Amino acid sequence: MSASEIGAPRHQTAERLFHWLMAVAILVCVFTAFLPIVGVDFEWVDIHWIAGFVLTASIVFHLWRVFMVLGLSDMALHRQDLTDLKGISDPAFEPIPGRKYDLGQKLYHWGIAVVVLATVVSGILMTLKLDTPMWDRDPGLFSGQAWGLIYAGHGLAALALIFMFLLHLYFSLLPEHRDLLRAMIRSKYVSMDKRHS
Amino acid sequence: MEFLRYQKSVWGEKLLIGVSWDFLWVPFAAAACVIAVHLMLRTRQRRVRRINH
Repeated sequence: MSASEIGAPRHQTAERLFHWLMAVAILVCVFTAFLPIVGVDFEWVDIHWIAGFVLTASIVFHLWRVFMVLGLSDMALHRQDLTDLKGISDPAFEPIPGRKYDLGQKLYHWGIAVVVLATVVSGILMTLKLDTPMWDRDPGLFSGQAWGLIYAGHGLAALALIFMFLLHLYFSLLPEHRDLLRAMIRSKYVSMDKRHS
Repeated sequence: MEFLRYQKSVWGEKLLIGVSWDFLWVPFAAAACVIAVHLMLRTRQRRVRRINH
């Protein structure tokens, strides 16, 4: 048996597909939004809203999986998760074993959920100002001030998204998290202990 | 440097049009700060574990 075959599956195929589809959609949205701002000029609007539509569809799929198949228990915050905070002041702290996600991962998940939902909801409202195959533009739907708030909300959420993405990139590339990254690419989860035994 | 961008409407009103992109560096700086703090905590944790083991 090879090392990659040891261990239980951490993520099902549907969840891994969702994760990578969402990642690609977010990256396309971020690059098409910010490259023109830093001076790289191209026709970005259509690519941006189509990637946003893919992102929205992937989130709907994730919500359906969570509420109809997976449940919320793995990602729910419990009082015992707070013991992970001892790791900040106590370098010898050992986290509680047997949990799929620790406090940091849960907080990150709920943080990125809020940020992505804010981006998507404001983005959907902004597409109402565009002609798409699904609808004709309707700029009179909201007042000028309301449109300004929607645009500002979308921009703020996008800045927060860059922050969250950079943190995610850093934590996923840490050597001690290599197994978690591998589990998001392939179906097996291999613990460090099992690999070294 | 303002955090929000405004423009004048055809009636001369000051209209909010979005966030100022002068602050595009903020998420990068904030992420760099969090990563630096985490790297310090991680280094300390690994040193203590090495001593304990």
